[in-house]
Amino acid sequence: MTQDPRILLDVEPGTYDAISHLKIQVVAAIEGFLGGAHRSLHLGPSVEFSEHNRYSPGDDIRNIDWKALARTDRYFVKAHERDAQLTCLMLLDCSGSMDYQGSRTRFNKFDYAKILLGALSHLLVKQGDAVGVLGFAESLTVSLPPGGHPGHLPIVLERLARAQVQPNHRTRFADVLKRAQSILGQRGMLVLASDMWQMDEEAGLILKGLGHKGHDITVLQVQSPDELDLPFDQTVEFKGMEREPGLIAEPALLRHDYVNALAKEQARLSLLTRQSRVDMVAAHTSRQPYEVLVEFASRRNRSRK
Amino acid sequence: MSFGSPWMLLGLLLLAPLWWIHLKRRPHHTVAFPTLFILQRVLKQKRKQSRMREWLILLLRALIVVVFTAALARPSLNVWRPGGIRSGLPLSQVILLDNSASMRRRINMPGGGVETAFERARQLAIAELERLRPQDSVAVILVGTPPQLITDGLTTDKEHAVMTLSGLNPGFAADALDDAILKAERLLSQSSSAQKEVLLISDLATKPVSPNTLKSMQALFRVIGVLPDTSTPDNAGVTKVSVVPSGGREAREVTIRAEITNYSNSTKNIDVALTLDGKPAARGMLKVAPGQSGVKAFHHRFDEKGIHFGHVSIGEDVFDADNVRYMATNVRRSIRVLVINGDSRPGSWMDETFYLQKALDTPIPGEVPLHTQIVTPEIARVTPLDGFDVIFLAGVGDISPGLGERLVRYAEEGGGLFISAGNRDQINYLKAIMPAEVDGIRTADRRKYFEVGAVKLSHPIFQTLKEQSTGLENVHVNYHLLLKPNPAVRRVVLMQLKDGLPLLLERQVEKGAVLLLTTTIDRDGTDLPIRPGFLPLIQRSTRYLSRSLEHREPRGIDAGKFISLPVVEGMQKLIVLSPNKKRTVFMAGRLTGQARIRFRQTNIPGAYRVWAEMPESGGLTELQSSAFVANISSAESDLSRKIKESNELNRDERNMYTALKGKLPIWSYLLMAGILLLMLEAIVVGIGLRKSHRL
Repeated sequence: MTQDPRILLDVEPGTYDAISHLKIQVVAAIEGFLGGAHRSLHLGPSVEFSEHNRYSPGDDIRNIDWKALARTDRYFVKAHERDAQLTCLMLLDCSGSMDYQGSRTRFNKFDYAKILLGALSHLLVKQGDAVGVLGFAESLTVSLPPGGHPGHLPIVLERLARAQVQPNHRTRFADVLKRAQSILGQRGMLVLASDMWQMDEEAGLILKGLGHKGHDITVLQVQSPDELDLPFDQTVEFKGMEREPGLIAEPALLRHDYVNALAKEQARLSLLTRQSRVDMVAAHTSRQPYEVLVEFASRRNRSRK
Repeated sequence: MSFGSPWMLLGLLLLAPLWWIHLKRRPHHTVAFPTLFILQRVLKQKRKQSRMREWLILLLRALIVVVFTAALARPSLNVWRPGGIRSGLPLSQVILLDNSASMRRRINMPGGGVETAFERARQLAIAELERLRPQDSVAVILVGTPPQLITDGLTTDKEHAVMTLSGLNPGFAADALDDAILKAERLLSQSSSAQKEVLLISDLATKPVSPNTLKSMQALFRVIGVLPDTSTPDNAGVTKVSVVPSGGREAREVTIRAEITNYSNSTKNIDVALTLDGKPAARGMLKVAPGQSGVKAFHHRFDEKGIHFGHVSIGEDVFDADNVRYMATNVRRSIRVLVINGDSRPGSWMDETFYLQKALDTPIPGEVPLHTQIVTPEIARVTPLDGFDVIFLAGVGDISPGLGERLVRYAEEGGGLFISAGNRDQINYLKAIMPAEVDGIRTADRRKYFEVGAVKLSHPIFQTLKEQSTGLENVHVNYHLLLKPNPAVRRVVLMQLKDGLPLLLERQVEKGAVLLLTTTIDRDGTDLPIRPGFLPLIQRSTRYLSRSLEHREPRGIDAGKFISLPVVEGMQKLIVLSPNKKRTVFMAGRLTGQARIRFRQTNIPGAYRVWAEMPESGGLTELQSSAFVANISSAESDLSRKIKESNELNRDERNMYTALKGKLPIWSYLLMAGILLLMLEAIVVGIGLRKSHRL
């Protein structure tokens, strides 16, 4: 990973162009002190129509929808969402397993995750939202509080660029999620870039709590294609990247069962994230990063509609 | 199981590297992998299955090596297949035609008429030959001793074989079925025909085939009987004839014993006739129970010594060949013994020759009698010695030099001399022929005696006593002669005392022999005369010295078997005259350098006389000791069935008799099994892989 944070987005040519037009929409209502491009939980002066309410005395008559009156012969007042500034926290998994690249991709999982988070940070800061970064493995390795001013983006990118994989370190989701909860406080946006392999029950509960508090949580599950199909042919001595004991195996013989087991693990994670109202986007390192960002944005748009 | 290329089994050594390769850790590369925990989970679940798969693969690969190696070694199984059914493939057949003596029996045919078993067998053989197809080959072997191939090996010329069969007659020899089968097997081993068969056509009275012969057979063995029924034939036969001296005073008196066996189901009164030298000699009746044997004894006194021929015959029955049995005997004269008594006391047991005379005069059944003449030394001086076979000197002291010289000459010219000097140590007049020079007399202390020790049992004198007590073990000796050792004289100690001093010695003197007893032959110096061994010792010593023990009666053999005839150096010609007057002549070229010569033309029962031409005789001389008689084997007289026909056999017997033993090559099956194993191995190896590749 280059040390120049600006180059981060230029690593994959066209990535910036591809995502610059995207407007990241946050589905969940956010509370914030700053007005912005996102809808607020409180209705107020805004161009974005939210819903019709039956007129009741005391309501501002300027908000009566006359067209609805003409259609239904009833009084409705139009409620508008108030735009608010978004606080977004980027969580970067720095555990040993993120260091895997494989033979079929140009990036390892860690670099890929940094590209995705960097791009998202860029877009969010550009539209006036506050972005913070937390890198973690068994402990926090990177910590940047959220900031929304234009000069904050280079800092975000620099922190991301300087983040290092922690070899042989595992992921402690619980700790970092608690920290994120304390940083976000009110409703905000949480983007977690990780392979999610160490997501345990405790972390799941915290994640669930965050979701129920109304935080907009997205997991970019960064996986190498090798993890998905175990493509090795010869006898391989597998070594653990997070202090697991190694083993020698014939991948060809285990492939079928491995894929099944992986699917089960994926299903467990899917269930966990669904229960936590977490949106999980598959960020396979074989995909172009912009494709992931497009999917991320389009899924959010669909959810909003 | 046998292998065509057993050295290929060395390929089994490949199992070792296979094992090593399988157990060796395969080369691998190392990969740091993020989802190792999932792999571990999978591997934990599949560990048992994976191990089983590994062992199964190893087992399959080892089996593949074994199976392919075994296939390359070209193995064959020894298999038995039920025979009797011919396919369209070419057949090589050997017909074993029983022409043994028993095939001369007459059988009543179901359609009437009488024919011999051999004639019936010949018809069946011809019928078999006519059944054969043009591509089949056949050989015919006669089963009688010795088996004889009468065709030109395996031939497709059946017409010639039929012609050969048509001119055949049965023999008198016993069957030699085992040898015939081996001969047939040798013939068939040269044939490349797909089907091989040995067919026995017989009256089934032959000796059963030995299991070893049957086991070694590669061809189908089929048996056809020629008899229309299985009833016991009405047959009796002369199964044995012996001639022995009667044991009387005359050697020309003999007893001829004929053993008659009744093989029929009923008691028979059999008329037995004896014919000697071509003339009827005696006749008598003998009652023999069914299945039993009886002996008819004839006593006869020959007019002349020398060889006599004869036969014993009985009345006709279905099998005539065994109704006569031939015999020959060589009648000798009595053995004449001169005893010179050195201490004559007529009528008294104290006479020197009292016990000796009793021993010599005792007739021994079956042995030529001894004629004894006892004289004093004075009379011996004027008695011609030439007419005596053996001379005893019993306690003789001084004798005239003339007698001494005559005795020496007598011994040197082939006479037998038995010297019992007693206490007479003055016998130096016989110094030239004595086994040892006398050195004095040793006398035992009072109430003490010397005991007999070792006896040379291998000597002809003691040969009949080998297996039993000699009767000489407890002989006591009070005094005996001491002898001077003289290495220049070849002598043999036949008996000695326990302290090693000789008691009885022998010395060969040119053509004769001298025995020296170093103690008395009466009871003065020893109790030997009253011991059980004294009589046989004297009798055997006398016969030994007279060379009677070397005498052989004319031999008797089974017809068809060979006999060895002795050949003397310088013999110019040897002629054997068969009973059918056929002369077989062996010329000097065949006789030179041979000690014995085999005569095989003994197919005709009867007396065979032998003549030889020696250079010194200038003409033919009959060798009476070489004469012999041939008779049919007594086993041939038993006409009861001893083996079964193929269609009468039970399952086990049929397996033994009518199974086709062959080698079934199994390398092709092994090859197929190897290919199947390869496929199975590929399937087992590919089971896991196929699932994975489906992704």
